Amino acid sequence: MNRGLKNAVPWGIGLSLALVAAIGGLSLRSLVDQGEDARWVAHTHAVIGEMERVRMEMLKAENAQRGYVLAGNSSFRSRFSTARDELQKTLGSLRALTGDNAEQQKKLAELQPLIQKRLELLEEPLASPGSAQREAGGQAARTLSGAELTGQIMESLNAMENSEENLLRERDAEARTSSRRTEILLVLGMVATIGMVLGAFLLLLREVKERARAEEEVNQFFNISADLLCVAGTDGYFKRVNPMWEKVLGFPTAELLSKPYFDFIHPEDVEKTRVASEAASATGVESFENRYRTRQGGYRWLNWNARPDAQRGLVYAAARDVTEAIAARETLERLNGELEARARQLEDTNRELEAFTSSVAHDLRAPLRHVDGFSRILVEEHSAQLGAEGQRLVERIRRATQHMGELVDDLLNLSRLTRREVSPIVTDLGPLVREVIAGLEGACQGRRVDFRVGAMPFAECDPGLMRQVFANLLANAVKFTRPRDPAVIEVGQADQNGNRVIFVRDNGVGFSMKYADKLFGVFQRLHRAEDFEGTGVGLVTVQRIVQKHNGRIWAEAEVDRGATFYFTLEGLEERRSQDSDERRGGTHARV
Amino acid sequence: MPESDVEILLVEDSPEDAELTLHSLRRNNLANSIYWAKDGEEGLDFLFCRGKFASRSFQRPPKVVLLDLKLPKVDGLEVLRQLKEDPRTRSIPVVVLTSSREEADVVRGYRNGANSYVQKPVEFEQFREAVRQLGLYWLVTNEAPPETTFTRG
Repeated sequence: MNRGLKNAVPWGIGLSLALVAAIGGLSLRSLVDQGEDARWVAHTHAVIGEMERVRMEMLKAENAQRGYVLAGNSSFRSRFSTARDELQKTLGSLRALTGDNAEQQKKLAELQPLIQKRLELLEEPLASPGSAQREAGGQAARTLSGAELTGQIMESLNAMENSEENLLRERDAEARTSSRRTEILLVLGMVATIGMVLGAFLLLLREVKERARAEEEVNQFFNISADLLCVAGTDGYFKRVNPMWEKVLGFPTAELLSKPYFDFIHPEDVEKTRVASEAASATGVESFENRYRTRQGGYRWLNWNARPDAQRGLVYAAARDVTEAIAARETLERLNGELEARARQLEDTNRELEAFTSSVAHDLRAPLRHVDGFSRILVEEHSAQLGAEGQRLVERIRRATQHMGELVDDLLNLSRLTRREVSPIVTDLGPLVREVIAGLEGACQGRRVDFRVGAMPFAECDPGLMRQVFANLLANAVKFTRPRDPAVIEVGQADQNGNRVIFVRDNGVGFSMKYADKLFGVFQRLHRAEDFEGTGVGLVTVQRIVQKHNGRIWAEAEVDRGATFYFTLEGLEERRSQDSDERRGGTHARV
Repeated sequence: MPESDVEILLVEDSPEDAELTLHSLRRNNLANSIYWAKDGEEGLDFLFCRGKFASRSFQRPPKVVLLDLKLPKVDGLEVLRQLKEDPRTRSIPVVVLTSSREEADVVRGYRNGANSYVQKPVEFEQFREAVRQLGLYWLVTNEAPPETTFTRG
């Protein structure tokens, strides 16, 4: 039932009650009126009856008097007296009856003296003892004013009767009207009541249907739900379970309902389920998990949500079969654990490796230092005994140890780099590159080197590490352009497949792309040491740094036609460096 | 050499490094006033005038300590810490001998650390520069300074 209808119900009932009460009241009133009307009709009839009686008694009196006059029988006398008394009484009663009618009273007041006079006339002969006189008197009474008086009396009575009959007709009509009104009201009342009862019935019917439909809907959901739904009693039994139970656990519904539900729970989960079900019947539970036995003897993990209905002693609960999810979760956890262990192992190994590298580098440095130091003392203090060849050999020893010192330094540097955390800030690469170029002055001594620095972008990077990148790349460029005059080294940015890249290009000796994959390997060199010195660590260092900035580095080259190194950085910004003074490097570069 | 005349204390376990350092200093006539402690413990005993150095006096401390970091028993950092914690020895200048830039970084991380650094092998020029930084010019001039100029002591 919707909300509007709900609100309408009390109003409708109130209105209906008011209507029934109104109609009832009106009907009652009408009935009362009708009774009143009937009484008035009866009253009028009584008045007319009394009038008739007056007329009759009048005639009786006349007849008795006439009889007496003719027969002289005294019985007529007493009859006359009776009639006269009756007449008086009737008149009295008539007066009382018509007390409410001024007109009739007036007429009655006129009538009364006439009757009185007539009676006196009639009584005259009765008073004289002689028959003749009686005769004469009677005759006189009859013949003279008597007849006239009687006529007047009758007329007056007729008039009164007419008037009363008119009244009767009026009252009759009134009574009929009020009777019809009552009928109409009764019919109306009946119709209204029937209507209301019918309306109430229809509403009820609709409500019942609505409820049946709602229940049917709920049942549908109950039946099709992929979750296990149930109503459980606080007595430990299921009151109702949906078909999913049978499907998941395999037990027929009847069996599920006939045993305490604890019978189906994994023994290890019984205790925590007891705690949870107490909580469920008090406040409800969420995401509680336990295992239910299946008919095959296995167990399914169920995840529960429950709400109590304390009044009825019930718990409404929905469970989801999470066996697979839990298995997956466990697998995931196990794999994660293994992965973590492996990652830890790897970290440990890395740390050990780093420690090893660092320690090796340090420990290697000491004997080198000693070889170099003692060789130097040999050259400086014992040159006479050594001779020219001896001095040359010692010089070779010193050069070799120096080279090894460089290798060790580079290795140490690389090892430090691997451990170092990147602390990126937005950096203008333009000034950074020029700074590096300025630092290469020594390496360019006596050569013509044309540095061309294009517009450089801003990058979110570790400036110290980025300086190292440019230092290594530019030092390489300076080194491998040694046979060129002038050497041309360009630094700039470009778009490659929509990606912003930074490049360092030279017109040096280049290399064959055949060996490009060896470019970034530790101690890998593409040139002979006698042509170009080096340790083979510089590019590895560059690659490590670029990778630490989530970037990529690659090279394009051709033998004798120069090389170009490209790299991307994650935090490379669109904005161009403010002072993009092209070729600025060119001015200072010819050193 | 009477231990009380020592102007330079070299704490160094490597005989090669020690010899190279001594050689460099000897060539500049500084070897006479050097005492070579072979490990951290001996260095500390010397500085704190105990053990076989019990006869030494705190009143005549070495003018400078050349301290190697990697030492057996008590390492260089520990020597440095103890030296700088004790008010009797706190003011003795310490030049740390490092075998790499990285090592210098490590030492710099410590408070009340070294007063200067010299990278091995210790060349006389480097040593002189370190001494210059410490304001001990007279140490390498072969002249015994008048006591009054030794204001930092």
